[in-house]
Amino acid sequence: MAWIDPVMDRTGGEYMTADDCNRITGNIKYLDSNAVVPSDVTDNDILTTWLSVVETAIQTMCLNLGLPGNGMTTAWTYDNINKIESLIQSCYERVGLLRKQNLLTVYSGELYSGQGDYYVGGY
Amino acid sequence: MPTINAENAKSIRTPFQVHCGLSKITDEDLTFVGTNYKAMGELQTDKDLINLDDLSGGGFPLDGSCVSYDPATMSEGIGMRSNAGAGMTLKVTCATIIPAITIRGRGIGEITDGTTTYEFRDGLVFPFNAKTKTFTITNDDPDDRIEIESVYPGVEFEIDNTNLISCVVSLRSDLTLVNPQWPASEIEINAYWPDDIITAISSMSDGTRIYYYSGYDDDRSETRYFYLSEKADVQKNVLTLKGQDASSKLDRDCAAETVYSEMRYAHRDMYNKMIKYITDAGIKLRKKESAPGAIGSTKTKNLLLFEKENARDLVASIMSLSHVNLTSIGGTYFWPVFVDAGIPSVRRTKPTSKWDIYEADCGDVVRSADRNIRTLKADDSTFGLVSSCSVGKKIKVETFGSCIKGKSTHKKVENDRYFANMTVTPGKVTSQTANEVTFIPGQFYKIVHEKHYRLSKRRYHGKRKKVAYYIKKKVKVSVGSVTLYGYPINNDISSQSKTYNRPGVTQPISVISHGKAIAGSSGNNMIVYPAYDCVFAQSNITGSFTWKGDPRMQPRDVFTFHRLDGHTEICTLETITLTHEGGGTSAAITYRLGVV
Repeated sequence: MAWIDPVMDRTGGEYMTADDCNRITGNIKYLDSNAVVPSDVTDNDILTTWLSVVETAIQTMCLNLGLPGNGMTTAWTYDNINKIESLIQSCYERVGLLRKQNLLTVYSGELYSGQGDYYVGGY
Repeated sequence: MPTINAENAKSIRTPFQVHCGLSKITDEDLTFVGTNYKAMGELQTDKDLINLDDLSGGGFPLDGSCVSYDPATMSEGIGMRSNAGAGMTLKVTCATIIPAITIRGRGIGEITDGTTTYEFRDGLVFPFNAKTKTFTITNDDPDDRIEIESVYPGVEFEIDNTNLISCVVSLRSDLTLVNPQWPASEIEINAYWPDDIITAISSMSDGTRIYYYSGYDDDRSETRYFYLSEKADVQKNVLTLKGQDASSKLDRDCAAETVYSEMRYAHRDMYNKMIKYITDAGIKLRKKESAPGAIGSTKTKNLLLFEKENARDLVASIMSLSHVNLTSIGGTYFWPVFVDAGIPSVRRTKPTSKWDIYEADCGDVVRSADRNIRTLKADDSTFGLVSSCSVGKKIKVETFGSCIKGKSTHKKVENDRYFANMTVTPGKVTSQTANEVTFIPGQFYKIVHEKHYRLSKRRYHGKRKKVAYYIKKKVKVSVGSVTLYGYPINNDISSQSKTYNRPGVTQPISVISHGKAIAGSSGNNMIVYPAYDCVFAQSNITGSFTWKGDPRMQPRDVFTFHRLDGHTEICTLETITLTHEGGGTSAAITYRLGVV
C-alpha cells in the first residue's frame, strides 16, 4: 500500500469521491497495517458506516502515537474531511519520526551528538 | 431573493414561477418487489428522497447535506435506487384494479411494462388497469443511478414553468349594486405533456382537485384549489385542465328558515347564518374571522324569514345588504364577505387598502359610471322592501298519521305556511326549517276495552252465571299519530319600494326575506339586514384596466389606485384574471370605486 499525499485544503464546493475514500483508508493502512478500515469502495457504493469506522481507526492510531485525535465530527463536510486527512498527515509525520529514531538508537554509556530533528542521547 | 412587490416596481420583472397541477391520488395500498437495486425503502410515501453519501455520478457534495445510509433504521426517503449505470425492475401490486399510478423520481432512461414504454421522469403517470404489473427501468447514464422517490395509485400532474403553455386564473366576485350574479372563479391550464395519458385521465371525475400558486420562492400566493369542471383532455401532447372554485357548491336550494335574533346579537346572527349557508353547502372554509361580540344588552328579539332560495343568492344577498356602520350604536363596521377564489374565506370587518396600483403601469384603463339609483323596488309583489315579521300564539299545525315510534320522520307543513319553534306530541323535533320538520315519534298509546268476567249476583236455576264486563285500558303501540304545534309566522308588506332623495333610476331588486334583523337597543338601533342604504351608498363608478398582475390579489380586496393626475382612489377589486403565458404574466382587473 503506497502512501498518497492527503488533501487538506478543501475550501467548499468539493465532492467526496471513491478516490478520496480509498486514499484515506489506504493511507491509514500504510501507517498501520493492522488498522480496521472499510475495504476499498467504488463509484457504485453508497456509504453506510464508512465515516465512523475510519474515524475510530484514526482515533486509535492517534492514541497509539501520542497525538490528539479529537476534533472530528460525524458530518460529511469539507472541514471534517480536511480534519481527517490532517490527522492522518500528523500520524504519518509522527511515524516517520519514530522510524528515524529507530535507525539512530543509542545506548547508555555511548557518547553521541547530533542536530536538527535528531536529539542527543547518552551520558 | 426577489419579492413580488419589488419585482412589480421594476419595468421588467423576473418571471413568476407558476406551479399548478392536479392530484387524484387514491387510497389503495400498493406493495412493491424490486430486483437489481442498490437501495430500497418505502415507496408509497410523501417524503422526498434523502441525500445519501452516494459515490455515483462523481461523488457527493461535502456541504453537510448528505447523510450516511443506515439500512436498519432508514426506510422513508430511501426510495428505490439502481446500481450506477444499471437498470432495475419493480413489481407493483394492488388488491384492486387501479387505472393508473404516478411515479416520482429522477434519472435518464426508459420505463416499460412490456407493452407501453415511456421516458423515465419525475411525475410520470403510467396507465395500470390491472392488479399487478412489473416495470423494467433502463438506465442511459453509465455513471449515475435511476432513483424512484415514490409510487402512488392514481394520477398526479405537476406543472411548472418548464412545461406550462398557459394558465388563466379568473378570480371573481360581483359588486353589482343590485341582484349580483356572482359567477364562480375558474382556472384553465394548458401544459406540454410528453406521454400518452389519455387512458389514465379518462378515469378522473369532476371534482378532482386542481392546485395553483405562483410568485417567487420566498414570496408567493397562497395555494388556491379548484375542482375539475370538465374532463381533462390531451390533444397533441397538450394537457388541458379546467376547474372551478368550491363556490359552485352553493348552487343548491336551501329550505325556508328563520333568524330569530336578539338585538344585541343581530349582526352576529347574520354573520353566522351566512357561514352556515356556506358550510352546509359543503364548502370548507380555510379562513374565518371570529363572530362579532354583543352590542349592548337588549334581548328583544326580531324575526327574519328567508324564503326557500338558492344558497348562492342567499349568501350574495347577506353580503350586499348588510354592510353597515354600527359605531353609532356601540359596534363597529359590520362588513360580511365571502370570497372563494380557491381559498374559501369569510370576514366581517371592513377592509382597508391592501395594494397600491399605479395607473402609469396600467393599460386599457376604462372608467364608467352607471346611473345613480334613486328608487329600489321589490320585483315580487308578495315581498316588501320594508316588511315586518312576527310570531303569533302557539297553535296546533296539523296531525300526521301512521307514524312509527322511534323512526326519524320528515314532514313538510301543508300549504307552505311558516312556523317557528315547532314541537311534536308525542316525540321530539330533531331539526326544523320554517315549513319543514324532522322528528322522532315517541310512545303511542291505544285505549282498549279489555273483556273480563264475573259471576252474576242473580241465580239462574240456582246457579250463578258468568257475565262479561269491559275495563278501559291504555296499552302501548308502535304506530300512531303525531300532532305538530308551532308559532305561526305572520308577515306583512310595509312598503314595496325605498327611495333615496337624489336624481336617478328605479331599479327592481330581488327580495328573498321577510322582516329584518335589528341591532342595538330599542331607542338606538339600526337595521343590519336588509340594509338598503348600503346599496344607495355604493359608488356608481366602475372601471377596468390591464396590469402586470399579482397572484396574491383576491376579489373584494381593497386597493389604492394612483391616478395619472396625482390623486388617489380607494377601490374594491371585483375580478382579476391572471394570465401566465409565454413566460410572462398579465392581469385584467375590474373594480368599483369605494369599499364594497
